[in-house]
Amino acid sequence: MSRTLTVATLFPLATVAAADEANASALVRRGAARDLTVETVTVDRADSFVGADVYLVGGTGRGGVAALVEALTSTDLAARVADGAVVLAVDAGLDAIARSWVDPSGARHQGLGLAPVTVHSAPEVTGTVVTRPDASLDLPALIGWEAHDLRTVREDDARALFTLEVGAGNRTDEAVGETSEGVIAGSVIGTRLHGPLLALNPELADLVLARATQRSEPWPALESPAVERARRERIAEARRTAPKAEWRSRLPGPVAARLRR
Amino acid sequence: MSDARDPLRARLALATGRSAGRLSQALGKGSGSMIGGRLALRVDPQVLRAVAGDRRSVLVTGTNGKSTVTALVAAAITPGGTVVSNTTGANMTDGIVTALSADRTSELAALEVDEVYLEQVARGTRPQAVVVLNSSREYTRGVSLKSTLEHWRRTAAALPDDCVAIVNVDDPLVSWAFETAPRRVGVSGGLYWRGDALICPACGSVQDFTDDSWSCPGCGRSRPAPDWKVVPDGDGWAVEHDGRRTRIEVTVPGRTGPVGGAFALAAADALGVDVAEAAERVSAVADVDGRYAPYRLGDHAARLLMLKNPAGWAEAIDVAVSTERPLVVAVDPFGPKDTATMWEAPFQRLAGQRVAVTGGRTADAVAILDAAGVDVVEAPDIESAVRAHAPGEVIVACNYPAFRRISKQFRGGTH
Repeated sequence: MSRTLTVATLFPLATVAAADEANASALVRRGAARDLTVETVTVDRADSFVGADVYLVGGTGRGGVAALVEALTSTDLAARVADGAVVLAVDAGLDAIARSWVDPSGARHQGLGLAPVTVHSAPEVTGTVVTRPDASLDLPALIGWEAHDLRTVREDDARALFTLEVGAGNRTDEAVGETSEGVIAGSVIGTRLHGPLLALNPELADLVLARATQRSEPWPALESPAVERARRERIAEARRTAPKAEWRSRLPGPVAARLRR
Repeated sequence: MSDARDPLRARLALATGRSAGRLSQALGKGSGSMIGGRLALRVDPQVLRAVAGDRRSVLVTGTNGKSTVTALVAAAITPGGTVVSNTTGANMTDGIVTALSADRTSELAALEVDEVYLEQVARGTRPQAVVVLNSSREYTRGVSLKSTLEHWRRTAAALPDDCVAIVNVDDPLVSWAFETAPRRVGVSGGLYWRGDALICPACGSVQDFTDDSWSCPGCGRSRPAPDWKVVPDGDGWAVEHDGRRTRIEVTVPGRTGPVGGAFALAAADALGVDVAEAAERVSAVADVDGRYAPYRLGDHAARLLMLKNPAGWAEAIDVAVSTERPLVVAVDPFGPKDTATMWEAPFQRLAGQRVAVTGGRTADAVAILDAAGVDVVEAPDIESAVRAHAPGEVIVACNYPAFRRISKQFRGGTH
């Protein structure tokens, strides 16, 4: 029998749009393929907050984060997440649910504290991101896009969501020689990657749906040829252009920032 | 061009800008339409006031449709005198300085203004009319919609007392942002993208929408009655105003054309130009920057549309659906996120219908249309994409680079 899930997109107008809203419809499509009925709702003010199985919060830019934190604080999001609701927080959304974040002036603020990360200023990075396949999360190589000037430090030994083949990611593990991206802690998933991430990467939509339904066994294999082809082309393009981005990222921040203008 | 009456600093600024613009052209770095204005503004931040002088200006702003409506406004106001316009699409303050300094004699100006620069440009030009088309989110600017609306509201409150704000009353965001304007005229301009206007910008309540109107249960705001309205007229369109009906012929497909015409007539009226005469001039506009004139391809005619955000794609989809024309989607690469916004466009309105796809980002477009349940066919080039449909008129919805490439190709060949 088909189970019904509610997916709520939270306060999309508070932040700069980055195509994250298409993540909700991606969950509808992938849900249908997994025999789940997914209903979507957009919450744009605190008193229309609803109980949901999945909360999406995204957008980019640091200008809107304060408003986002304020809006989220006046909802039951923290309680829902404590009860096991999944939250997928992208970029500005991750700042808002972090333990602390920095505003454009560099001042540090309290976030909601749902994601075990602190956010710090760093030189700007933009570009296409390719993740490494991860058997433990049942994920192939995924494609995404990052544009931020932040360093995302995981705390409490929380695991990263991805390791990256191409891209800057959290920028915390230079010494280890691998690039981590985002965070996953229980039902809280945080990342800097726009995309729209779930539309481009249906396997990640599967991960969200699995956490929302407390499913532990892997989903049966499911092909989505059109999306896979688009992703294959993007990954190939990112690999071709990646070395060029590489030498810039080794430069001191201010120099790199000037070169990018 | 400098004028002897310009303040010394403005003259110096213009001289600097002129040499830079020439240098830029000479080096083949572009048309020089921005660099000159940018340097002039560095030397004298007030230079826009000097080059605007005392001519009467109409500013056109909004997220989508600015270039088209600016061209229609420029045509509509010509009975009032000669018109200067920033036809290259350089619509930030620097581009406007360049355009106005290249023509110091025209008595009128029709200026397309980037929505983020409206305050600065309005302060410099002291316009007679400001046309505000619509407001939806942009993905490339790093500016939230909320801050754009607040900036507009501040700008509206500071407009000169004799300036008429000509606003799209069908868009609740525009309506709210310009309710502080000293004089306001409403145009029923349509709303293709409700997604960003679901919540009242004044009080945060969820708005009630009907097919052609909106109201807010929280603060009681509702759609002001429009002063200008587009109505079907026989096989075409007319603009209704003040109990009078003016026939209008615009090549722009769908309702977008006559709606742009209505804004242009309202602007002409605000400048004291005879509306019937303005309508003739607007109807004579065959083409805006190669955008709308149909290109012949044997038994087919292709009409190009250029789209840059979900609201634009929504409008293109609406044109295809409302005119019952088949659709071609042409998308070329211009960066990693070049097709991202298309994921939010309502392609499901075309579910089950055939759409032909072409261009360098075919794989993305196929994925997006396939997810929406569209019957997608791929075509190796634009001609075969158009010919994938039955003979007749075809709407070709392009992103920016595909539009550039295809319109150039069509102009060079079959047009």
